[in-house]
Amino acid sequence: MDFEQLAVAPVESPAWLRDFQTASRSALVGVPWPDRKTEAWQNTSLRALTADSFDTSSGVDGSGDPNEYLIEDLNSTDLVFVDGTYLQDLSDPVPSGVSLVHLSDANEAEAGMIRSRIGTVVPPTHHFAQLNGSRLDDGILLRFRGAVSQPVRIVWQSTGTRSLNHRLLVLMEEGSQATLIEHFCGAGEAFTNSVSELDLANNSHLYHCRLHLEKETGIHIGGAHARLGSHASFGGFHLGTGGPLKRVDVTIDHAGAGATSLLSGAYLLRASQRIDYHVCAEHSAPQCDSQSTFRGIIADKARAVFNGRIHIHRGARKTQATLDNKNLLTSDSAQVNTKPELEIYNDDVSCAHGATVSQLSGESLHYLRSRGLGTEAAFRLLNFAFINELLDRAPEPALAAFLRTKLQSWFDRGGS
Amino acid sequence: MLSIRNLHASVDDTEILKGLSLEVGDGEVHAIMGVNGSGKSTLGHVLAGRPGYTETEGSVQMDGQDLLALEPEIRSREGLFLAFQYPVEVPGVTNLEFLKAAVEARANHRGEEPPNASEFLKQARALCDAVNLDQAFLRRGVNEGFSGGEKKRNELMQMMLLQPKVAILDETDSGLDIDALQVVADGVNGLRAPDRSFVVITHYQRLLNFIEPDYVHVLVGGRIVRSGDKSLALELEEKGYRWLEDEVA
Repeated sequence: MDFEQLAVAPVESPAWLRDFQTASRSALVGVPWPDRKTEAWQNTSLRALTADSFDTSSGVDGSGDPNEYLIEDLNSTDLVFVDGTYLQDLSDPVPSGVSLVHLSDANEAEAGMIRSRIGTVVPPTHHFAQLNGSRLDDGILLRFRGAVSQPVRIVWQSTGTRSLNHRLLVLMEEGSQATLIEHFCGAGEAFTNSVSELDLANNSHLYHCRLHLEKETGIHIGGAHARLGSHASFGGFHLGTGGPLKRVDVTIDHAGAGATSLLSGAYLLRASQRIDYHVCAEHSAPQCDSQSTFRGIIADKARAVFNGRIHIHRGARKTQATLDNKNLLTSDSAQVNTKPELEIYNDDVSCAHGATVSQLSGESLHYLRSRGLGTEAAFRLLNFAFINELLDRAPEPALAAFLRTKLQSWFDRGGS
Repeated sequence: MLSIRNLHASVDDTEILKGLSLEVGDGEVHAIMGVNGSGKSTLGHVLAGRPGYTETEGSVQMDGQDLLALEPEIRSREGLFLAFQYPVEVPGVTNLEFLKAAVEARANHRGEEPPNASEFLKQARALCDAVNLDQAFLRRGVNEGFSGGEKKRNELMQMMLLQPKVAILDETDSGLDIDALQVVADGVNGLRAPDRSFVVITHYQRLLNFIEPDYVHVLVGGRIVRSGDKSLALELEEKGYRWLEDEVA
């Protein structure tokens, strides 16, 4: 396959969008299809993708199943997309302080704003993001003003085999505050290419949660990319269950002085599932803090890839950055490739980087057994605990409770 | 209640216990004293079934049952409790979940009905008060970020909850200030009962002012070399351990 061949623009787009499609396509000219020699893909094979994976015409079911994405007691504004189509009946009106624009409906002023920001947060070297741009026919812009207390949730549900090309652009205006949940779900076998760009103006605060809870048949390549203005603060949480091919790129660009980010994530794999997280903290401005913690449990013959990078640019003095990745392998055939990368061009910084792969601590296990818990129960409790620790950081209790239930059911289905 | 006969045990192929015998009757409190390295903690670990601690000879019976043949969790469910010298931190598992799982495991093993959630919570809260731990500790990770004293009080709380037949306290006094020591002693004294026995392992006589033992034993080189009543502890305090070590040598 070939990026250029796949970069087929949809018919009938407005002029500004055609312009973006063309720009995205031009970034793909001559770019070879990734293989094992491509550094960013050396541990993840794209073999699960075929020409059919990019078929945008077939397999639309169109009726979503709200039970699948129900989060009890979460009082959120839901925007529901099923197989890429926005379903108004299943969606809620946006609260005050939020404006929602569908890219295909943007008026001239909105289009101008979108065109000036779209594609500027995601790094240009992310070829699947460029592919997304070149094929883009719709997507949404969410703008937040002031403090929006109710979480906004975007449900991306997939039911069929139609290839999906999701795009989200979030603009956090100066001083705004919001919680945004992206909830991927569905039993489809589609290939989803999703790009989320989160642009935080000065002094804004966004908590962004991205849940990859699609059934294990789905193929997903996507990313969530944030750019933080001065004194902006960003909280992120990722949860990923595995599939034949899942790749998520997360970048946080600390572009304004004094910006802070706290990112956590967990991935859970079993059978012969795969997942690949590439996380990068870019520090281009001074006095920014970033903390990233990812944990994975890998069972059976599953295989995870984690690449954690801290990149500190010349001007980013007084940066404090930590990145930590811990993996628990629960079988002898489970695998993880975890790779820390530090690139530092300023002396006046404090950085810590850790990656571990381990099995459960025998000491903890014995402690639990000494109180009467059977080996299996103790194992489950400790495995659960390994991830559960991170859930305490979720901003909404109902969300944390939902994630705990998901985690529990993953273990109940013999996840480890 | 607990009958240890000629127990030999090794850690990493090094023999630590070299023929230890001890008879603990119903409702009795036995103190085991000794210098570091005499095998005090090893005894606790072997009884609790810690991996890496291998018994090579001898026998241990609890209530007529062959204790060493049981898995660690079965020993616990049958009524053995070891208060750890260094309680383990288990982040991500809340104290409450942990205690509930322990109580349920024991109840299921004994064919009893485990307490329902609200009864259990009530009981756990009352026990927090009893050991002077803030109830907020129930929602925190097991021992996570607890101070030394809080960890020991948490051990005590577990003991009170599980109501063991045989409780072994492994240097529960170490790292405790005098107030915390009093709390722990009150807890233990409150649990003393005709059908419950205690083995109190300690380095210092101090604890025994608070928990009065029926018998005191001195461990030297993996064996009990002297037994007596509580006056033996006072004698040790006065003369030091060297006196007995020399005598044995």
